[in-house]
Amino acid sequence: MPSQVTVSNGSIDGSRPIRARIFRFDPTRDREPRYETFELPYEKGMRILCFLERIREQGSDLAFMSSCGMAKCGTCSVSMNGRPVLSCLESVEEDMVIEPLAFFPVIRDLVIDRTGYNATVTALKPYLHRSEPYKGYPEKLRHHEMRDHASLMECVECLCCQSICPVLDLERREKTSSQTEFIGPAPLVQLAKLAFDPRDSLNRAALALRAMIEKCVSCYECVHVCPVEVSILECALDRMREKITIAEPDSILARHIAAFTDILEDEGLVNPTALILKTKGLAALGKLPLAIKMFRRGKVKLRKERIPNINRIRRLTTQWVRSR
Amino acid sequence: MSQTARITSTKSRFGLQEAVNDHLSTDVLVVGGGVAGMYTAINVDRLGLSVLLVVKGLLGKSGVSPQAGIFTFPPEYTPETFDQMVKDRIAGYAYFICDQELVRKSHELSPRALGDLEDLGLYFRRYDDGSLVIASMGGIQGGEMKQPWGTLATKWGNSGRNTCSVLRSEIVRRGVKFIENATITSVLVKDGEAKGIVALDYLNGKLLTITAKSVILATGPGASIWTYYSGSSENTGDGHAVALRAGAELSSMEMVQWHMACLAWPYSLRRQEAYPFPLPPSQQAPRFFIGRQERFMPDAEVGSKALQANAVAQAIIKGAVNRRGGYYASYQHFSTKDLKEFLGPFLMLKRLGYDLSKDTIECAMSIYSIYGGIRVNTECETKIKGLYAAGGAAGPIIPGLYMSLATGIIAAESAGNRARAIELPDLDLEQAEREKARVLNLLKVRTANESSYSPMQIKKILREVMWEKMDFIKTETGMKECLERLRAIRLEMLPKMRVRSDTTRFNVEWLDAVELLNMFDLAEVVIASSLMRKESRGPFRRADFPAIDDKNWLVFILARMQNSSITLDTAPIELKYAKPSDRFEWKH
Repeated sequence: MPSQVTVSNGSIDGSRPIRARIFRFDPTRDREPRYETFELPYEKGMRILCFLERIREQGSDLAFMSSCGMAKCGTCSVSMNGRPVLSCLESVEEDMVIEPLAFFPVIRDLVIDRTGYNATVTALKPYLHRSEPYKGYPEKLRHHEMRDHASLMECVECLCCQSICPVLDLERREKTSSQTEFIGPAPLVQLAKLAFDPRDSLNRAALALRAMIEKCVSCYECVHVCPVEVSILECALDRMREKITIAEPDSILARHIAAFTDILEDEGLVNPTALILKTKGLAALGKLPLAIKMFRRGKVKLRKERIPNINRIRRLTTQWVRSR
Repeated sequence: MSQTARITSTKSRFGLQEAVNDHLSTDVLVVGGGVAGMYTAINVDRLGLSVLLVVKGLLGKSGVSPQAGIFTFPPEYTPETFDQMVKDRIAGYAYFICDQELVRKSHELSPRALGDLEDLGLYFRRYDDGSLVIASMGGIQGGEMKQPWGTLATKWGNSGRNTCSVLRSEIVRRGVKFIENATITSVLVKDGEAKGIVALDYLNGKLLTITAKSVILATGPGASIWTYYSGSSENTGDGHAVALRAGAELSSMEMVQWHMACLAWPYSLRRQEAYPFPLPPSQQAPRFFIGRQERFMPDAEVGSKALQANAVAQAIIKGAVNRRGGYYASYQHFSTKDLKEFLGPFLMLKRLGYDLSKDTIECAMSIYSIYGGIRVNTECETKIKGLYAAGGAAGPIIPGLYMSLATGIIAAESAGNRARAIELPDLDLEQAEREKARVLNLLKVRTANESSYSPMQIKKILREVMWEKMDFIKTETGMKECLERLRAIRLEMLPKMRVRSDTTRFNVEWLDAVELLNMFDLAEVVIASSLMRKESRGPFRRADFPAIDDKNWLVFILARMQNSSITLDTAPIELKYAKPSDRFEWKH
């Protein structure tokens, strides 16, 4: 027998109207953005997109982008109370501030300019480069070979991850130009999707290095905000880094990963001094002034330390290396 | 023209748009950025001709293609099963209101198109042993899957979106030019031949004139003239309306198909279909209930849109359910693993709070598509020389990914042949200026009056009237009332329409106003054609004529526009591959 149907709206009981302060800006006319407040009665299961559509139906000329309304096109992402969300999927809250997705140029109101992102992805050659000519439909493929590729096909390129990434944020703050060195999680997902396609022959690992994948600090912010639950780290970035250790073993990133694993196996904890020396070799001498400073503050130790449970850690490390 | 001049200075950071001049020319122009539009453009580019794509939203991320669920074409077939499949499609999907030759031709082209997609990288879902995952759509009888069946890329519900993504990449790789956020407002016609178009680039606020040797309309089925439509809300039938005004015919616009298993709420997700089809690998069907306990729609009927619609129609007539809900879909008998692997919306519904392994979904009806469209022959040519239609915009067809792909091959070839044979036409300046002035005028309708309406407010009313009166089960009185209401709204509200601001930067109300006028024309054709068909056929249902009438109504209903008013006509249907005696035993 069917059970009760629920559509969650968190703690909203519908007794209060839904209120939103919405970002308004026309770069061709306004000197600076302003916020307009809208209030609507709550509707059962109301999503942010319902709210925006209702506003338009009541006569506002608020500009926002949306198409499918069902988490497939990825064009309706906005920032709600500072969090990037897909507006067709995200429940309204009683008090909202709705703004365009952070860090993108604003075309008007909530509409962002995706040109920069598109150019970045295009530079990654986001199309299949076959190593062998296609032999006809259906070609020989097994699902386990395509599993990683298929899991990344779930990405709808809504750019929520791109707008929350703290590394990108930091780079944007430090740089005067709009071009960041690290290309961010969203383009890397597109790159990884093709890298994990066994039919593809392009050296995607080299492209990932050029995209400064090593700058990712695995903070999981992108994973948390992904509305379609793509495991951006485990399925895309981490697996891409593993690919680099094989395809580009001489790269700094590959040496860093190898050194990290070695040190962990040897000492049971991460020794930054050894890590830098093993990764960069003599080039690490360039960082000498910094090393002296850190030594003085007790951040760098010259003596090897070993932790008590070292054997257990070694067992785990070996298991992990073998599993790859 | 002051608005257009003002914007040019501020647009420099929009890289792609920068290349766009006010006047452009190309060998072949394709309007529409879904599967049909993109695949047509790719095929034209392969011919070595210049091609330009004009897209209302973002390329591959707008239109109705991202919502397509499945490739309804089997990976293996024999000449006999192929013939049977074509018959089944003509009889059980199009209810004979189709060009049988075009349906057959599209099926013949499907393997080529699917191979093409796979070559470009699209992954059709396999099992671990390498065999293709086959999904059934045609109903299951006695545990056996009946034709037609199809393949998934990679789940039910995600196939269209993933196809769009692959085609978009190919467009980028080939360097095919495209303009996003631009909508067609008119086809320029002289001496019965299409010479180009006028388009509104609403991102930069520019009116573009584009001359072309061939113009292909791939603007989708245009069914967003009802409140609840499972496609995208921007699919307002712009291609249909401009073709009609240019002198082309619309065929069979009364043949509207319904979804019976869309989410009843929330409002913005009413477009989401629950995919009430047998699910691989078990090929069990989801179960349907009236209220909480009473089962309806036997397993054998789940999987065919026509049978589903029939079951709901019977339940509506009995008063047990209504098209706004009251019936439920249950997936509790599936394993969570299968739901996750093969049902696209599973994760999304989970985020909404529906756990399909535990909860049932309250369902409601929604418009699925219009099978009718811009009338084309087997070469995708319209009555106007140089004007073609492909995909959901063409008609009458059986909409779907395979049809969009097949017409994408046919239209590209026909349009390409013409483009090779003729010179680039001159721009008819006077006609272009007149059209530009009409569109620009929509931006100027401003009054500070309290009794004025925004274009979206009128759009909402139009959709509500259609939803109320052009119901699943129609009556003559209801339809006549609908027509009168819409005419009254046109007369009373349109003169009071105002846009709030005359900014030319992403002015959504300006776009709304252009779309609204198209919607009025389209709605009028749908109602008039429906009034003319005095029978019930497949999803087309009338309470006053409940039976099918092959003797009188095995015809196309054609609509034309003459002096701004719609005239109707009928044309015979050639029964080349399937006859009414081949019909499934539907209960009517």
